[in-house]
Amino acid sequence: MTPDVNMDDSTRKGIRKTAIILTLIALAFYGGFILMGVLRA
Amino acid sequence: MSSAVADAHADHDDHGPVKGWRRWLYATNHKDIGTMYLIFSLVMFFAGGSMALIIRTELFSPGLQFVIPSFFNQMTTMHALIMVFGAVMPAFVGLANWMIPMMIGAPDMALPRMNNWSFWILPVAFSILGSTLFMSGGAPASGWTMYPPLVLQTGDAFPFLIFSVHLMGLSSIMGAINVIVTIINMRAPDMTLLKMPMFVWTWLITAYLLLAVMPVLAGAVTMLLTDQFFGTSFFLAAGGGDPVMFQHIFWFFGHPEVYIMILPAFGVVSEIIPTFSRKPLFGHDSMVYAASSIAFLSFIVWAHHMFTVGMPLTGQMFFMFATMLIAVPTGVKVFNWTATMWKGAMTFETPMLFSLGFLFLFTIGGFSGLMLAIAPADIQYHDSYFVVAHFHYVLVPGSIFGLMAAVYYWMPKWTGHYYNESLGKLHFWLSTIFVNVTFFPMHFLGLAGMPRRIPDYSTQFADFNSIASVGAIGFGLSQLLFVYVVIQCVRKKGTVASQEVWDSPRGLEWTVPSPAPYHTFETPPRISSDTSFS
Ligand SMILES: [Cu+2]
Repeated sequence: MTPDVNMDDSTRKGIRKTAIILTLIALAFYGGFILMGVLRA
Repeated sequence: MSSAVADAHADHDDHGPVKGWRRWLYATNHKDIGTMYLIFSLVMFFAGGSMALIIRTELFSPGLQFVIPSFFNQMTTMHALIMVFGAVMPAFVGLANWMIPMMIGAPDMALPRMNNWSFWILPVAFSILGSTLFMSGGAPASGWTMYPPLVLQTGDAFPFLIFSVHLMGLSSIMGAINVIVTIINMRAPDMTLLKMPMFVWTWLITAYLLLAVMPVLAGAVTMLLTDQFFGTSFFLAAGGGDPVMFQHIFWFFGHPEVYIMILPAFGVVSEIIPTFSRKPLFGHDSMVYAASSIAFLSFIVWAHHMFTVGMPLTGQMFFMFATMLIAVPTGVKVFNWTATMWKGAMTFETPMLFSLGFLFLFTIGGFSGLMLAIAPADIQYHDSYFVVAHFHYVLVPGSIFGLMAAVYYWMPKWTGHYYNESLGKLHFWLSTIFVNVTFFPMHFLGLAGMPRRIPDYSTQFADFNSIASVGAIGFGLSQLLFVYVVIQCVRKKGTVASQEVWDSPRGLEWTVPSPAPYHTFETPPRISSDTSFS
């Protein structure tokens, strides 16, 4: 089933860009804290 | 601002909801997903609530009556995990799904397929967590904080606990990304950031908190997993690790987590108090800055949960004063809500009653939080029932009253019918009376020295414990009334609701018909430059 959202190209691009940045932030927090654990242990 | 709205559906009638189970399993519509989140969280609320009642039944009188101590510990742990990750957080995500697109004039959430995943991961995660009750060694029993080395003594349930926490984190992170992406990219033209309603604002801030701290929790439990099964020693003293480091990492997640559970409630109350005071929200922008300050400060106070681990005096001083600083923006909010009501034409429908209950009782929880922030005093209060009293005041008449207020406020918009106002008010008064009967005596128990997380206690604590247990059973039963009121409203037993529902409320959600059509704002609404939404 396809999502029922119509939007123009610039919005779609904005969504993709924001989503990628946010995903990277989340991964950085996950990796960063484990790395901190590795460095301390 | 409403002209472009109501007819937006007319040119787009080719797909309403699909019939049958496919509508829900493959759901991408924000309203359907919001509904599933809300139903799921209600089920979890009763699951976690039954565990609370097992706890309170055992504690009704001194001695061991009904359960063995190990099962008691499983109940306290599971009650917390279910209430935090299964009831309160998903309920607010459900409200976000339903309301954020309608409040910013967007047709749906920005990432509808990911939205489907965010939701459907949750029943899987909680089935896994629930199944641990039947495993050898029982469910996790080390408290929701999962401190090592105690948590490493969990039986077969251990890897399942870790896996389910990872799944809950994944669901929350995807939900948070979706909220931020939606708010950043999908607002109606001319809805500038500072024009956004407070509920949208508080959820935006909450989503950033989630994005920053859920991965930290995931990292912490990943390290627990490798300590247990892959020979690492992150937290094992014997291998050169540091158990206190787990506490630091956990509370770096854990303190912002309490704001994740309360900021959306702040947003709800900031929508409701103006409506029933018939005045705009006092100090909208200062509310935004206050919520942002609270979010920032929440990252630098975590060690106030750990004053007893033995930290340097400077550390104690820093975390004590930083914690107390949070009272300033929180005070700004409480005074702004009060100023909103000042000289307003107030009426007291159920959503307003729950918001006022929130205002008074959450503030009690805030004050006991200030008491706990005082490092030398906290060494006395630590791990006592005073702490239990404190965070239950913040979470029950705080977060949960905020949720109740939101459901009563927006339910006529969702269903197209009013709920039964007399029963709603009865539900409010029963909840308010019993929540105080349950949790207020716990302050006295804590100050008198009763430790938390114990199935048995000395006889001098007997009276207040029986009172608290009676209150808990009363509170639990009162929530059945809530279910009845909701079911009656969903079955359209109440009066038909108008488009505005309340007396001239502000916000785009009141410019669409009641019940809200399956698709709203497929054409973005036009907003005049002087419109304000809160
Ligand atoms: Cu804290």
